Amino acid sequence: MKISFLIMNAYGMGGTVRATAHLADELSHRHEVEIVSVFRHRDTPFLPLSNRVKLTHLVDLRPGTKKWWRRGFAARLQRPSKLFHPEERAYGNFNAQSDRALKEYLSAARTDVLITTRAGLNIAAARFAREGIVLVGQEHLHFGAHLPGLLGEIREWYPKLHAIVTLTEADRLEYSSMLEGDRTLVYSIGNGLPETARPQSRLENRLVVAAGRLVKVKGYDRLLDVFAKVVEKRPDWKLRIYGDGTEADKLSRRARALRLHNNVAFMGSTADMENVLAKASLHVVTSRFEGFGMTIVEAFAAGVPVVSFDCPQGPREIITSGQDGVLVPDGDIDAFANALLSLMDDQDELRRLAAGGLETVRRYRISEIADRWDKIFTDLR
Amino acid sequence: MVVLATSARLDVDDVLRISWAQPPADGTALVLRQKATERSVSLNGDSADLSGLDLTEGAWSVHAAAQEVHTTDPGFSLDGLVDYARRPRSRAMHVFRGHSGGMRVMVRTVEPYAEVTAVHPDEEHLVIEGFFAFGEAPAKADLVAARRKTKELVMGELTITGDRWRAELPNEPFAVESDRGFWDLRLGGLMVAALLDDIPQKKNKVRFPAEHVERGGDRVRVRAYYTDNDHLAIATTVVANEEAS
Repeated sequence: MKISFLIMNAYGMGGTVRATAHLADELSHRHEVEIVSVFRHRDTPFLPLSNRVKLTHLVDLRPGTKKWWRRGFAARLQRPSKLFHPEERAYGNFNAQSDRALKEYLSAARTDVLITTRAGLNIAAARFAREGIVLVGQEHLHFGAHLPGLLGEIREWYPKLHAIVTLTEADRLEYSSMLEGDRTLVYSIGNGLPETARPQSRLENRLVVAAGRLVKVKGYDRLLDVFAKVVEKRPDWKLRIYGDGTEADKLSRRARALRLHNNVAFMGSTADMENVLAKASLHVVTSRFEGFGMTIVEAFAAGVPVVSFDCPQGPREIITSGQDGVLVPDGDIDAFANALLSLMDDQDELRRLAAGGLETVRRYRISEIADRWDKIFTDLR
Repeated sequence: MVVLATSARLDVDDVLRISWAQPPADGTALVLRQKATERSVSLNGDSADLSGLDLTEGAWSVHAAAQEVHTTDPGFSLDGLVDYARRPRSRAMHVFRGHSGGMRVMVRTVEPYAEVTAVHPDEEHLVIEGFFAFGEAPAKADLVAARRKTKELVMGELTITGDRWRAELPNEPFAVESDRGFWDLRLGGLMVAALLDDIPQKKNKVRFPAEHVERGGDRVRVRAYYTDNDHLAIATTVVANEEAS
């Protein structure tokens, strides 16, 4: 069976890219697998892919490419997308050229199963994919994160997909209820981690790590407020934030205004999340919403406890508070700071939670996750 | 079969101490490899003395019984890097886990310098704290900021307690003329840098607040920053009053 993943940019980074790469790699032991990246902006993917997985692209953005000179290409890159709803969170990345390339690809795709990985791509597949392909739409964002206009399109087009796969059980219930009466099946499957010898934290560094794009939804403004309270009592602890994004300058200014310059570093992107996490003693998630929370699972696998706001939806389904991490009422800055401070002062509790996380992460072994995907393919054939 | 360590730490005497999850079949020697160059060292149970090895600068991969040694230990602690640097030495090594999981030994040629641990800008002064790394405290104890090109100088006050130091530079003398200036720091003749925090190329990762020296119609912004080599320096910029922030 041939399985194709359609993803916005496999050459970039982030939880969705890492999760897709892991799943594609695991499924490639069992099927022919390709990843189709709508955009390509660099020669090699940020995260290396297994050579069993074929990687192709639809729109080449590399400056050196000859396609830049093709008639109308550059102009179409400048024109906004008509295919994507303006409320799609990645709307600004798409354009008239990607509309054209997507329609062309979808109407002729030679594959058995097409897995699309975000709302806009799910809708595009429902509208334009040729007959005979099993269409599976994956949702990396939680249901409530979609704005009303986009939700209207989701309601209109998702019934044309054969299946929706959500990352959380809460989202599975939301989509099931929305699609009641339609033929579309709804499943919940979290992201998986490869079973390699991953680095393990000794919990010896007074280091807190956060990771994710520097955008509003990740709540780093809240994290800086939390850490300002933490360093009042524990100035010896440091925070490292990994990721790039549109809020970088704003966050850097906020950190300076809070006088956190000796305690906070903005590390930029990393392709080596597992080593980064394994140097830390705590991983923090202060997102306003989190579709899943790939870094939570990765932190558990590195033996690092996680403190997270109890935001919708991912963290509360992965973390069992008091067992492998701590869930803090969403938005409660003081409670978050207190949770960190109490763990900083209690090495035994830190070790107990780390051991709990290593237990929890067994649920996210990629072989088991791939088994569940295989069952969907069987259901749909 | 993979050769896998669960712990790999280099102590202050450059002895590599390893805990094995899966020890090498022939546990008698380790081979360090950098491109075509190899260095062999005997493996005495769980330890190998790297102090006598002729190792050029850069990363060396570690092999045993013809296989690359993998590790699940990140390889070092931040406190451990500091303890290691408190001893005078001309070559510094540390162990780390490479992206692919292989054990690596990083070798650097070092000279004594002033490691920065904290920077505190305020309205009047820039206070810098740190300790002396890889050497003793210098005999001549002063802090000098020298402006690039013009070589104008600003002198600071320095207090040394054991191997720790605290320096204080006044902001006002940095307001020298009406364009941009960059000032390099020397502490008792030593370079002033932050190299032991595991944050390489920290110029844009760690940024310090600016302070302003008021003048007649404008202000001079004084800001500490890290250079491309992670040395601490000071940038001064003249800004109109309404732009100052």
